[in-house]
Amino acid sequence: MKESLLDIICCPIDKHDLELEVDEKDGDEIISGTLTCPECGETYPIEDGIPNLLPPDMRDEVTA
Amino acid sequence: MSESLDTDKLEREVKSMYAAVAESANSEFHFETGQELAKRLGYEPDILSYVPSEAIDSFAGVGYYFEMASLKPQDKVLDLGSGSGMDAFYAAMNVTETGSVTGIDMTTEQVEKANNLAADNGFHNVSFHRGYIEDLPFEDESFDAVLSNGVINLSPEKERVFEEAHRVLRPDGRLALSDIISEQQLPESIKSDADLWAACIGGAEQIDSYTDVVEAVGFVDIEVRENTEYEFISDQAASACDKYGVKSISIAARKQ
Repeated sequence: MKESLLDIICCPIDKHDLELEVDEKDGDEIISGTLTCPECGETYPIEDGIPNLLPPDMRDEVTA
Repeated sequence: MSESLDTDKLEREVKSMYAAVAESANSEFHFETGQELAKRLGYEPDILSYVPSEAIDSFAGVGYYFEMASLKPQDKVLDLGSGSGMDAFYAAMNVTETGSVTGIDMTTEQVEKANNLAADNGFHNVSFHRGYIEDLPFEDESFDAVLSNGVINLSPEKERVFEEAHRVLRPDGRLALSDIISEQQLPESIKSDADLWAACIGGAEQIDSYTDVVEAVGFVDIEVRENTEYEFISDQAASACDKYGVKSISIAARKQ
C-alpha cells in the first residue's frame, strides 16, 4: 500500500485513525508493516503490500 | 436476514466460490463470467481494451451501471467487493490518472490477483485491500463515488452496507451499482441455502425493500433500471429466477 492511503483508511471497528509502523518499504510502497488503532488497540497487518483491514475476530483463513 | 441461514457457512461458501472465480475463470459456476458477458451487459469495448484481460476473464458482474455513475476525471472511487478488479480498472479509465480507485474485498485470492494486475499494468492510482463491506476501513466523506457489482446481495447485512457506503461518500457523492433482486419474497428453503446464496440468488432482496433500505440510510434521487441482458446459467438457478422473478437491476442514488 502507498503511505498516502493513510489519509483515508481508518479502523473498521471504531473508525479511528490508524498509526503506521513500517517493516519493509519499496519507494513509496509499504510492503510489510502494521497498522494500529490507538483507540481500541487492534492491529492490522500489511503483508505483501496488502493491508488486511478485516476485523480481527473474523480474520480466519479457512479458504486460503 | 433469514433466521436459519448459517452466516459463517455463508462467508466460507462465498469466499471459496469467488476464490475459485479468481483462480479458474473457466470453471462452471451458476453464473456467467468474462468478456462476452461484459460486452453484452454494455461495457464499452474501447475502454475494455485497456482493462487487464485476466481481470475481464474473472469478471462476474451482473449489470452495467457506469452511465448512471457519471464518473469524471479526479474522482475518488470506492468499489465494494472489487473481485479481480474489472470494475475498478474500468472506473480508473473514467477518472483518469488524476483520480483514484480503491477496491475492497474479503477474498484473499481476489485482492492479491487484483493488486498484481494493477502493478503489472501500470495502474498506479488503483489499489485493493482486504476488508468487509459491512465494516469499511475508510474515513467519513472519503469518496466521490461508491460502486458495486453483483455483491451486496451476498451480504446478510445489507442495511449496514448501505449505511457504510453513505458514510464514506462526500455530500453530493454518488452511489451506483448493479445487483440481484427478486420481485417476490424468496421462500426460506432458498434463503437458507448457502450455495444458492453464494450464487447471488438466496440473498436477493425483494426490490421494494431493497430500495427502501437505500432511502432509509439517507440516499436521494434513487433511480432503478433493469438489466435484461443478464441471466443465470445453471438449471437450478434459472428455475429460481423464473419462479420468483430473480433478476439484475442497476441503481443510482445521491448522498444529500
